[in-house]
Amino acid sequence: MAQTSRSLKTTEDYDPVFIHSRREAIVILCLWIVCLCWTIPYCYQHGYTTEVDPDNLEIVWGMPAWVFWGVLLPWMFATSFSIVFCLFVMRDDDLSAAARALGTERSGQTEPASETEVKR
Amino acid sequence: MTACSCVLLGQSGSSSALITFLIYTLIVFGLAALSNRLLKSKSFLSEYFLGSRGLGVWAFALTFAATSASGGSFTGFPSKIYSHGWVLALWIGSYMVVPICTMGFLGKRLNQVARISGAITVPDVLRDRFGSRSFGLLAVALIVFFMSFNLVAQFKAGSLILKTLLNDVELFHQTSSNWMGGITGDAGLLPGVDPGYLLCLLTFGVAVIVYTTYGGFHAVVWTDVMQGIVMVIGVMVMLPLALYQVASMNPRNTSSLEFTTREMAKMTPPRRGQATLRLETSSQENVLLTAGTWFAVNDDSDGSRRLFRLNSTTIIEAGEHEQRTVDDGLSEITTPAEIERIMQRLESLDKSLSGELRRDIRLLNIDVTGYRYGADRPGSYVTGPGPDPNSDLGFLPLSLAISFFFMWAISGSGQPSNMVRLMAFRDSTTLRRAIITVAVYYSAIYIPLVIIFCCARLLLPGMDAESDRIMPAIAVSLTRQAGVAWLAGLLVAAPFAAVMSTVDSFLLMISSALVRDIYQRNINPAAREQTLKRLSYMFTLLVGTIAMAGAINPPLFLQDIIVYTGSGLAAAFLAPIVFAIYWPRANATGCIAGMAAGFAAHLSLYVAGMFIEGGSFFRPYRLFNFDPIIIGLFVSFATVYVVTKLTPAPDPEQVRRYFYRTRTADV
Repeated sequence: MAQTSRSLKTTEDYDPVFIHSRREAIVILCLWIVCLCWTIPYCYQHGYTTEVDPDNLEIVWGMPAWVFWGVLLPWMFATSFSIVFCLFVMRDDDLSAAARALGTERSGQTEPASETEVKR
Repeated sequence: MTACSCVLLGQSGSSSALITFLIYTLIVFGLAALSNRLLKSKSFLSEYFLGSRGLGVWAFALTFAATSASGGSFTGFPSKIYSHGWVLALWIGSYMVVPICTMGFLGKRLNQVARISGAITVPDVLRDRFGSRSFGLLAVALIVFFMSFNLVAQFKAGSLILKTLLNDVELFHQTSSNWMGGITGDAGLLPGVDPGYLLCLLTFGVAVIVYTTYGGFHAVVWTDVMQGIVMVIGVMVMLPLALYQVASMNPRNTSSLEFTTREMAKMTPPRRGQATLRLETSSQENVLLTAGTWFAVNDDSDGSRRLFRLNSTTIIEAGEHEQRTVDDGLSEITTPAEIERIMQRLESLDKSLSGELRRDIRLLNIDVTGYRYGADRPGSYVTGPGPDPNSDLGFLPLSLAISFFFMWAISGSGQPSNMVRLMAFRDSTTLRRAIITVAVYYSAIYIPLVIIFCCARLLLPGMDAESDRIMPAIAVSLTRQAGVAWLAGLLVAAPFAAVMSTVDSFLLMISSALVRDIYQRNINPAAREQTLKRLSYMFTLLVGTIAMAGAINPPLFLQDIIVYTGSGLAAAFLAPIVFAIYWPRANATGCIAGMAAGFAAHLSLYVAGMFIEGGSFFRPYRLFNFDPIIIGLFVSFATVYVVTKLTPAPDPEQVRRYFYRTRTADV
């Protein structure tokens, strides 16, 4: 890291797409962890039982209560979060800007852009 | 496909299946022709393998969803729900975050890096990002290794589903025996191969190979869109039909789903085994007992009634009195309330049940055993870990539940076939809208599938031993009861569509690895476009043909191969890609080591399983009871980090190119 840091400017000069993408990836990772920590412990605590009284089984919306609170509810939360995140948090970045500046945007070419840079 | 399924499809009106398939194939070829026209107006390789990075919201969302869904969602998943109950909601639970994880975690940045490097394939990205030819070749080797195996398994899956679809079409049987009989006979080229399977393999294989070869990436994407729509329509039609038909069995004033769940709570898993079937009087003709036939036996000890269902078609020869069923050829229903309900339906000649009650046959020497987990325990279908015939720990012990939360969301991000699609969308607005679309799409598919196939336990009881065909069976049963038998063809086409969309993507990935990553980038960088075009067509055709040939005598462990290759690809590719696009300090040595270590760790657990578990390669050793994917990912991520820290920093020019604003200068 030291060599890279010495030869380049600070994080202020990082490509904004990289910065935004990394921040968004961290949020997504946190969402996955939240859903994992919600779903698995809840279902294990309430759904993994050997004693069931069929007549008094707790049911919500027709499904076993542990499925509703441990899977369906976090599912609705995760889907809602995904929608809000994509609509209002995720940045609209220009993904071609760097490629255009480098002259390597290649949708219309067949030659590898960095062929000459590949170590042989 | 069993005889019972033939009967089901037959009763539904077999021509609908054939017509559905023909229409479906025609549309696919039409889309390929349109795609081929696009190839003439744009750069060949970029268009053929990546759609010129121009995918819009619907195309991107549905190709991503359809490719990820695979055939398993419509064959293996329904079978598991039927066999193990509500715990499958937890098994599939991490699909709540699969869209945002698999698309949002890498999508935007991977797309940008691919544009900067001009990459068309995943090995392209790794090679250019690190300026390492050997890294590109390692990635190509792993992709070809894993995907070739997977392709053979998917070809088999597609052929089996097509055979299910056509098995009651008279023309199909005539054609398979006339055309294939000579080849598969004792004196033929392929003795012992089922002629029906061979015909389906050739039909499925030629269709997929031709449209993929001819149309390239856009053909694959457009057919994926169509296939994705077929899948969601199938589910949306089945859900209300299933709930409506359960309602007719519900004597209480409760919802259909609540009734289903309460009935499932009373259920205990069936016992399986064999018995001798004895005719009251011998017959001068063979007596055919199709799978699904029911037998009632009065238990002399307590006067109760026992109910059995035949799992495989059995014939009592002419002049004979009795015949022993094959091992696991018989299931015994063990829930008293269920026995009463089935008997009422059988006595009222309820046609939605697949078989009839044979009172003229007695069962002798009954030898049945219960499940290893859940036997005689009411409630196992509505609680974890779910009943299991083969494991004392149940179907989904805690460690496996955690593994699957990793498996779908995290390993899905590491699939090269998904990564290619992330390199192909048009802009970040497309990505944002596509994530929303797929999130809604998966919610509309997976939760309803759990509900539909829980209802199937009531609607089609006793099919535990044949649960692999529960999807076509329930499709036929629901549509026939609703008086819309023609819909069965469309519903059964859903799993066929899912397999097709996976096969075409994998086919293109392998040929792109050969043409782009090996030929153009290592053998002849100055190759003319016409040469690349010819090679692309040739390799797509060749790879598809070889995989099809491999599927003539396919490996037995279909689902196991798919799981092994999917998790192996994730263990090898996820860490190097994540570090490559998010960590400026990452270098080629660290990422190559991580890729090799992830692959080796994952493989070694499968090899260890052969010695420790004894026997099959596909019974991996589960360290701490976790699936090998968890260990493989952990080893891969740790190796990249440690090796990178121990080796020199990457070339600053490379870092600047991919991580810094382009106007940045050295300090």
